[in-house]
Amino acid sequence: MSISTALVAERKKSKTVGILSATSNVTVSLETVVSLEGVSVSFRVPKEKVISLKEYVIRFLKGQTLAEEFQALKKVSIDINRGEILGVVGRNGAGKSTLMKVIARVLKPSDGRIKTTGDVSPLLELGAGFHPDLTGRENIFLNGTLLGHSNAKMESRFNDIVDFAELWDFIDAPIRTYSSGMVARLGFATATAFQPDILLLDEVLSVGDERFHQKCLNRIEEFKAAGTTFVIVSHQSDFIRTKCDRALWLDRGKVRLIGEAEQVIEKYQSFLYS
Amino acid sequence: MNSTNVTYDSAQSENPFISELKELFRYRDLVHQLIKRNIKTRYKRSFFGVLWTMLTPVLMTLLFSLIFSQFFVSSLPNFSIYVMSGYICWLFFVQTSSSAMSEIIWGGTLLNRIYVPPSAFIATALGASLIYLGFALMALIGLMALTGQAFSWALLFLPVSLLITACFSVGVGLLLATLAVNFHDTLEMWGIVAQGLFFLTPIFYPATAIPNRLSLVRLNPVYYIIETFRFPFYHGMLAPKHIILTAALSAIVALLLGWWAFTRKIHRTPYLV
Repeated sequence: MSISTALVAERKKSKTVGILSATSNVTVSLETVVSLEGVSVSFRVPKEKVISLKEYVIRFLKGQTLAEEFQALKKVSIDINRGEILGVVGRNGAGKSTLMKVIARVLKPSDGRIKTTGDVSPLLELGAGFHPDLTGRENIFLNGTLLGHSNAKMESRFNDIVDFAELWDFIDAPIRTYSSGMVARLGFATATAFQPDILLLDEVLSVGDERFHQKCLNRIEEFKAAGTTFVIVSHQSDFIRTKCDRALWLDRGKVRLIGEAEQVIEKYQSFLYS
Repeated sequence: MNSTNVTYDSAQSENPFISELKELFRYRDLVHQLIKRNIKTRYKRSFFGVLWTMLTPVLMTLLFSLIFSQFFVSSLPNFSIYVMSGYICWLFFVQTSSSAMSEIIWGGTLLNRIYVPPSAFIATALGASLIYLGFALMALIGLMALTGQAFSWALLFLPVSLLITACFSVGVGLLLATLAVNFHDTLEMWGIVAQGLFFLTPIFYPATAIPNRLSLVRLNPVYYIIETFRFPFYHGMLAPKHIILTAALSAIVALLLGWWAFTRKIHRTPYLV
């Protein structure tokens, strides 16, 4: 615990420096783009899966409670700064994906407040938002508009998307004929066709072959250089250690530690293997 | 944090009744893509493809004509036009309301991962059904020409009767979709209810065939919707005023109630899936 407070103190210090530099007209490096203030998310978890109306009515009449509350996030407060890469680690069920959903507007916090500045683009899991019977071309437009882009915008970037995914030969074939690597390439290329202000990656980077993987990393570097903020959930500690500026360790819905990536990963791993 | 730049703030909760409309407009290109997807995937690998949207009402009309026309030949001359103009209106209503449910369930997996206004899926159901209705109307016009049915000026009322039908169907679709995401039983149940409603609505028989002791049938709003739609085609004039007004009122009530329930409840969906 003492380490986490120390890190927080250090962060505060660096933030003051950032503000000072801002006043002296140096590039603002510490503008908060995602801010969570005491965010809690409660799920109603059915005690047993009730899915039929009959069961529901019977239980309701018997006065049985149907669900219990489960807090996936407990009073999480973090500020994420423009242009930083924040890695999120934690064991299964620690609340990592819930955190991403809160940032992506999919879940509303049950308590607390979240503010984001700029457009948030979540990189969907493999194949989500694609329809297997539509062609690659049609899926680019479907997926792009799902992400909130207009048809015209997608049209303007269409060639670049197919170039990046290297799928010109298959673009008019239904994607049920694609290999999973091809689908992943198309998904990544479409989702990153426009530089978002905030990009959310939830365990999606281990896709495609080695060469494409490198291409993805290069694109992330480009975005970072241009000011995109990243929140990345990954179980690959090396990735977090080498690519992320800061890391957040979630443990049963609470912030266990936040700070410099290397240090957080070290603590996290010694916790995991102790 | 500069508050003027904030694009999303969970503490600022707008009325979902209004904000959902704005969001739907912002995602109109998505609706366009989803409608295309609906049409392209619905008839994939079928020989007649989208022609089925014309074939289904024509064949059903043929079927009903063969079976029932002799019973109503005195009260309903040109029986096939009577049946078909009522049947395509009915088909539009059932298609819109059922696919509102299937679209929102299909969309549920997406809504769980990414922000999309849920009403986009309902708009998709409406858009696709409207296109199917367009084909069916062409078939109806063909049949009218073939059977020598007169085309009346009253047909210019079609945009209004279509609007009434669409509002009513979407309203029912919104209510059903809200129920369906919580209870998947709704899909099955609606199949049965709709079948019952089909027999209780004068579609392939005249309204006068309903005995007085079953006058409760007249409480069925679909009856007024279908009569409003059918009159210009079959009778060559507008439906009586009280029928049109009842239809319009039912449509407005269904739409407002459906939109209210949907926008208020649908955001609970991620918690349940």
